[in-house]
Amino acid sequence: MIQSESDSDTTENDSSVQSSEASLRNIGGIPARPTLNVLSDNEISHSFLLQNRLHDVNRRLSQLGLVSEDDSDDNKHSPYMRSSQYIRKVTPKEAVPQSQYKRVEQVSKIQIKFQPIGSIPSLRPSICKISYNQSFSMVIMFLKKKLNVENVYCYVNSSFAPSPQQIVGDLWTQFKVNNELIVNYCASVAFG
Amino acid sequence: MSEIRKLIWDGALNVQICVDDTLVLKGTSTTERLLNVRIPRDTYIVVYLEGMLKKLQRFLRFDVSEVMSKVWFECDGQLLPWYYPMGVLFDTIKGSNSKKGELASEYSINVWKIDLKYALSLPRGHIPIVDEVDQIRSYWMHQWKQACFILNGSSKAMMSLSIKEAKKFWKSVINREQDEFDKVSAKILSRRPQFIPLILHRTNSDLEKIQPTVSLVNSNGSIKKLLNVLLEVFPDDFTNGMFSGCVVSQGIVVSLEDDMFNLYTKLRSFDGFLHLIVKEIGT
Repeated sequence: MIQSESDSDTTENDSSVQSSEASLRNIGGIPARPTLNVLSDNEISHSFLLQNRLHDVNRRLSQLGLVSEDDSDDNKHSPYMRSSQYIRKVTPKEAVPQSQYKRVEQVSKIQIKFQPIGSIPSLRPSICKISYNQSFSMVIMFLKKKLNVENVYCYVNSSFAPSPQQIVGDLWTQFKVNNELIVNYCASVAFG
Repeated sequence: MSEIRKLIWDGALNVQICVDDTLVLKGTSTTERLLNVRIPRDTYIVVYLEGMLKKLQRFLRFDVSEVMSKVWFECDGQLLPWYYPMGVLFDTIKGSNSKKGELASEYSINVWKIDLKYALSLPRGHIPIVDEVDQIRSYWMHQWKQACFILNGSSKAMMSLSIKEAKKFWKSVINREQDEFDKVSAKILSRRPQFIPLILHRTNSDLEKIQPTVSLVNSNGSIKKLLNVLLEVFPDDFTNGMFSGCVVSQGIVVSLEDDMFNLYTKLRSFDGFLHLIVKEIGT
């Protein structure tokens, strides 16, 4: 749920992401069409060979590239089991006392600063709070409701439009400025 | 390295599309509703949607343009979100259904069966295609902008591409031209990035996606390995210092000892992100 800094107005918990389609529309460009590779029955049986080859090459390179200068000592004594690459014991040196990621997740609400682009009205107040684990589609829904508009195009740091499914907390962690996620919004496409 | 990148680029999946019976004319047989296609791992499935529908047009109850925004893909009743690369969907959705020890045989199965569903009300989590291929291109470009921001601290490198280059970049994905793709992406990628664009996909019931901030080095100055990332993000998945899962990218199990930049360089997807699928052992 999104809360304005000064009031507790909340958006409806709308499950639909359809409304976010506007943020994904394009400004135009090349209508390139891909070629559909329709298979005959005989062709189908050959494709897994490429996958197997990829397996082999990666396995070989992984084995060759595992030991770097600074960790060669660790690896000598490492209980790492090469036959099943995913089982590996953590050395005391590598162990982290507390997950840095979990620490961030404990911030239950994060701040979003809304900045209008062009003629679209400003949001008052411009800073709102939202739960860390909400998807970005909730931000789009919130803006549409607050501004009473049908379409709104949202960008982070005047750069990119996040996927509606992205977790707002992840965006905040990666792109925050002064502990605020800057969301620019516009009535039409601003950054294609 | 170039050999691996070529194998990644050329990797493809055999897919059998079964069209929803509400979408086809009465009397259409089951075999007429099937379409066998080979789809690259490093693309979005929806890029080929229009082509699939056109191929089956004579059996459809509606015009292709009418149904584009009302269809979606499913596997065993589970929505396939088109906005992740095809290979990621396969490794996440199909892989999660396999039992222990079946992983190898999973990749030997020749055909992945997918349903093409149709309804007026769309399932939760699906982004409808309202602007055909242009919408997909736009989504993909913004993914690259985001990746560029994570790598370089701004999207300037991406935004500096000329219109011609941007068109060439997308065309290289559509036409599967690796050389062209590499030429343009080299302008965006950095030899010494600030952070790694990474998305972790869990094969749990929620199919959780996590986009952590991953630097090249640990706080003590050592090179950041996959193991360090897993320790930070999934500390509860370690029992007595052992990681209780495995990590798959581009269909292969990756070593926890690999450093993150190396993994990114070798196995990144066509959207500029490194997608790692974190599986529990036994699934």
